[in-house]
Amino acid sequence: MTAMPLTDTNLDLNLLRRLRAGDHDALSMLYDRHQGPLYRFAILRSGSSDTAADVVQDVFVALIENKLAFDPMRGALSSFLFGVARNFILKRDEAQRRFLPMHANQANQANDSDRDDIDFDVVDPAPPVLDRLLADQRAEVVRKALARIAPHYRDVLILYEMQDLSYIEIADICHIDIGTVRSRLSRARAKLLALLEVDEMAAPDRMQRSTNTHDTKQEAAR
Amino acid sequence: MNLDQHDNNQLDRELDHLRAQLLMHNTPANVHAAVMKRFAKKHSAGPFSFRFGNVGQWLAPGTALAASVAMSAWMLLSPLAAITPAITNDARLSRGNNAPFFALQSLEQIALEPNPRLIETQIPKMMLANMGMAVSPEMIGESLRAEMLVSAAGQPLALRFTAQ
Repeated sequence: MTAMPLTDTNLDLNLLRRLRAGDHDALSMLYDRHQGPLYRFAILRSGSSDTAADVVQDVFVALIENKLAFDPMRGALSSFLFGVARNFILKRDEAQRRFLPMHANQANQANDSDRDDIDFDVVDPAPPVLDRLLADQRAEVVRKALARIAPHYRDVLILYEMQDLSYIEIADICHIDIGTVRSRLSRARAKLLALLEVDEMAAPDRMQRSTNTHDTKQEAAR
Repeated sequence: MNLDQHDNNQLDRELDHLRAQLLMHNTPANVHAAVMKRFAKKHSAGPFSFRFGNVGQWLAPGTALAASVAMSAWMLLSPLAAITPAITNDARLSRGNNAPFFALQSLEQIALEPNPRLIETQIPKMMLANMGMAVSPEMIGESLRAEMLVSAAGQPLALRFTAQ
């Protein structure tokens, strides 16, 4: 895992200071630096490109409106923004949860600290409805399998595997301890692999074809 | 629960592939436009800010410093100091004795504030008790006068007690 270099942190702080003073270019630079990772996190977390775009917009509007209490002593701006994006997504989940069947609701309502204690299923009882987002078939299969992982496991998996954040950063973003990050990551990886294997058994021809394509591309890339 | 090396490698390949595919995706351009428009609207204040533009960011620290000096001078020369000698003998609570501020936010956050201001306020002793300070039960309903450094948005940044 790679940590954000100190120079990046200082650059973000400088841009943030200029943004608060009304510097248009500083906002543009901050946006360019952070929109991509935030959007990709939100896509995987919410399963919707529309929601992901709304979340990125909400994050930057909150930054502009000075509604966020960013403390540089507690970590990098990038990690802080992931936490803000996650909170916006959780709020949307909360709104959608009102329309779920009762059994799914009860499972979702167990709070974060309870979830590990009660051996909560790693699979989301009410996965988001997914549109096709990725052109590559194999990547799309993995993304859809990832969307079936329960949200609090999905958070950890995405932030670690896709965003290269450290255990400490993830613990801070998800408000859990490092041991929980470790255990959730381990369980989420195992479940994701199991889901992919089930998919593979369900559609062996399709998977074989796409895996071959994937392997061929990797060979070509090497 | 733990995956063996083969499983781990297989999963890593799948995730690497997904990550590579995702890298082609960025936030739609209309979001950038909406964010910049929002920013322009927030900062399209009156003709003063238009004319002076970013000069404000250079003037702000100097203005804040000048305001602090003026406030300190006013407190030192205030008639209140002269007519309440008994109270001002208390080094911790006297007005204009350069009593230290207690930071309520991190120093970095305070330093980031472009337009901090100093206000006078009353702090209930109940609040001090909640912060872990020893307060006599008989005095729990009383208040203390204090000066508070607040951000432009009104968020408390630092606090110091003044004379009663």
